[in-house]
Amino acid sequence: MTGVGAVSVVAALLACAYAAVASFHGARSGHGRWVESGERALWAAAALLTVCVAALVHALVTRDFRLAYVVRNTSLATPLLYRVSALWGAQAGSLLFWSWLLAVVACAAVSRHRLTHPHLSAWACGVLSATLAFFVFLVVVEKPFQTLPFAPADGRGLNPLLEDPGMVAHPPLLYLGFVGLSVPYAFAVAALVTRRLDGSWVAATRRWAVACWLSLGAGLVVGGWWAYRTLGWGGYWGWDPVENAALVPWLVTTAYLHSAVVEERRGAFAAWNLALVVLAFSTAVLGSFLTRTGLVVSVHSFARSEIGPYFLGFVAVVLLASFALVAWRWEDLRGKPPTDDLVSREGAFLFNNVLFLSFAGAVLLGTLYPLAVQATGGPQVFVGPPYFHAVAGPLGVALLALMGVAVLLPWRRAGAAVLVRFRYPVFAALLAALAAAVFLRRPGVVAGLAAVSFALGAHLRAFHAAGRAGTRAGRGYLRGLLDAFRAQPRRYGGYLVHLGVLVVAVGIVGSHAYVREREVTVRPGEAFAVGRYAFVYGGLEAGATPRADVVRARLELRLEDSVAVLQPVRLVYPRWGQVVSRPAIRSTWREDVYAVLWAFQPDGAATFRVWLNPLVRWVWAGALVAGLGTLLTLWPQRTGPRMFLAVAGWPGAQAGSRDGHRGRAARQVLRALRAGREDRA
Amino acid sequence: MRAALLAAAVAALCTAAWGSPDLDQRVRAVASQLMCPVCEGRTVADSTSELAAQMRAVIRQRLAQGESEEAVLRYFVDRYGPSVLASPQPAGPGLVLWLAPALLAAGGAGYVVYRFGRRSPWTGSEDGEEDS
Repeated sequence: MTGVGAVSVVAALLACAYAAVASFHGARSGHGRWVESGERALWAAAALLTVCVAALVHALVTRDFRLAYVVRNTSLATPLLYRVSALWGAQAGSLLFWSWLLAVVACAAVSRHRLTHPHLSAWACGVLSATLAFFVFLVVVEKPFQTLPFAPADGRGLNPLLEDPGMVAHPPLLYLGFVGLSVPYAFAVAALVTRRLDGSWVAATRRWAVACWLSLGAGLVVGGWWAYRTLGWGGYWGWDPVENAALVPWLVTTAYLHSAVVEERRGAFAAWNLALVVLAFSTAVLGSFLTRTGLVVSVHSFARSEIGPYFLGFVAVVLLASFALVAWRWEDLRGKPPTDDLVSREGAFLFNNVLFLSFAGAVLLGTLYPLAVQATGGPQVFVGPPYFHAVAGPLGVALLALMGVAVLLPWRRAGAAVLVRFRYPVFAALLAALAAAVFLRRPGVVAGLAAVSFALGAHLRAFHAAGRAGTRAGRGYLRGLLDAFRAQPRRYGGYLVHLGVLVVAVGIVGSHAYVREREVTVRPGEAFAVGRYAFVYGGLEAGATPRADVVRARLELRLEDSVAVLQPVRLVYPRWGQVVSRPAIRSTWREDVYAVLWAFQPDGAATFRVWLNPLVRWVWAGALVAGLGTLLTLWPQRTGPRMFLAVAGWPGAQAGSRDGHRGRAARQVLRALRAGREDRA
Repeated sequence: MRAALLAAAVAALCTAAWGSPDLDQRVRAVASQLMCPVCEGRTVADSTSELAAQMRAVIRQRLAQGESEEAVLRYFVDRYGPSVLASPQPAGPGLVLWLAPALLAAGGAGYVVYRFGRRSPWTGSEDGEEDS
């Protein structure tokens, strides 16, 4: 089985190299046979990579200790789930998994668009195959199927920190996001090469971009959730270089998803969107380069190796080739301006792009700065949380406020009458600011809560308008809201994402500005207090799992009349020489009590670190809402006349108007409306 | 006039209510400015190492003795060198780092206003479309 895997990797490399050459040749010369041959080769590469993945998973599951990779990442005590997830637990396997995901995504993208966008899809197939060839080449270099001269009786096992449900989900989600970004990128390159810059590539790849964005975002959230529950330092986001490396492409993709709307509506902005897609893909590749080569000091140091030079070369090729393409087609890309007037929704989207890209740029700069200083012979420096907080705070507040403004502004141009819409949101913001100033006393918190309230007001106004339109059309308030979601899932789904972001923002503000933390050493029976909670230390209890020695502490948590028991543990993994402090967390909507057993003496005295982290649950809940909203935006949009008129409050468009007569009338009205709109434009 | 007075009163109320953070919060504030020297990529506030725990104890002791946050930070920089700081000081090349986000945002916004700020001629009603 392992021999099959090793051979399949090389065969897959040859297949995708051929696929790239055949597709490019076919696309250039217009020979359909070459194009089809390239597509088939891509499918073959995907099949071969599937064989490789199956072979490695088989070896991991059956504990085939002849393989070095299996020995390093599993042991006899590793449960089945983590034997499977060991596939992405270290460099060689995760590169193979990554390549396989890319191959599957590439096949799906090409087969989905080969009929609808034949000219683009041939070039895109070439770009995807070339990208895939590079990653398969890395797999060949990393040798996941390397065998040992003799098979040891037991393996070392997966890094204990990685044996967690969060770590089962976190890497695949991030990989899927990264890998998926290559689809919009490939189509953008295809559009540039073929000069089909009419924006059809944006429409073709919007869903891919949204799905990648969702996957990346989910990966980031799950990673934070894992860190919070596992690492025991009291937080969920440490501005670690590897976290930043995943955050930057997510920020750039966020900018793109907004500016893509402007292009779809106005047919302008093509160059800018191409540049954004190229940037998103490049930062994703750069991020995985930083992560995988261990160039930056990071807690994610379990994925390091010597593939650095190849990777750097690939990043350079991607950046140079892409921006050279954009420069080559620059004259074609300069269309009409994206907005008639800055005080409009398009204008707000432009500023959205400025802010998101500044955010991404600052995070990237902060991540690369230590490297730059060292490369120029400077001392070792860190760029850590103080810098990133100083960046993320003001930019975050500005983005939240802009989110509200954008929703309140109409498309195209805003007259003075629009100001009326601002009254309630502004009132809400002032009220929140005043309350926050009196009770919470921190300038940053005041600004944050004011921005959140303003944006919340703006979005509620939009939902209210949809509900009222339903009432006016005689369908009732709730039905009106539902109609709005069904007729324009992208718009209202997007608003739902915004609401989720607001909840996350409240959670982030609370859990960063009002952390309380205490370190105490107590003997059994002694009590201490943190905030409004009283803790009674009940003593230690020793135990063992097959792989670790466990010391469990008993902490009684008292608040008024209620009593709960927290059991933070300290695990020692002899084989790894690793000590892991697993926190005990008691979570409520108000705050999390987060207790870590820090150290203990033979006489039973123990040192605890206890955090009170306010509103952390809001972060997870808000992220769930945002994810739900994103799924809604992926829902197929109904563009039939009936739904359009239902939203417009047209009485003839109510349910049951299926009969031809009314339907025809509705279509006529719609045509008239469309014609009117075109006249105005 | 009345509005101005009201604003002044609100401002005074805010300043009075602002208050100063307690010792725990000040320790945390200083500790999150320092990098744990023995672990990779964690601040003293977030680190789970023995050394970081000692550094937090030193911070607490010095702050309790009435030293300012800056003085405590200077103490650690003198002992461990400037690489103990969790973010470079805004001086020399570090200044570029600290100014870059503001410059990026301001530059980008300025460019957008310069490039697209002029109203193009457009005939139509003043109110735009509400619908997407």
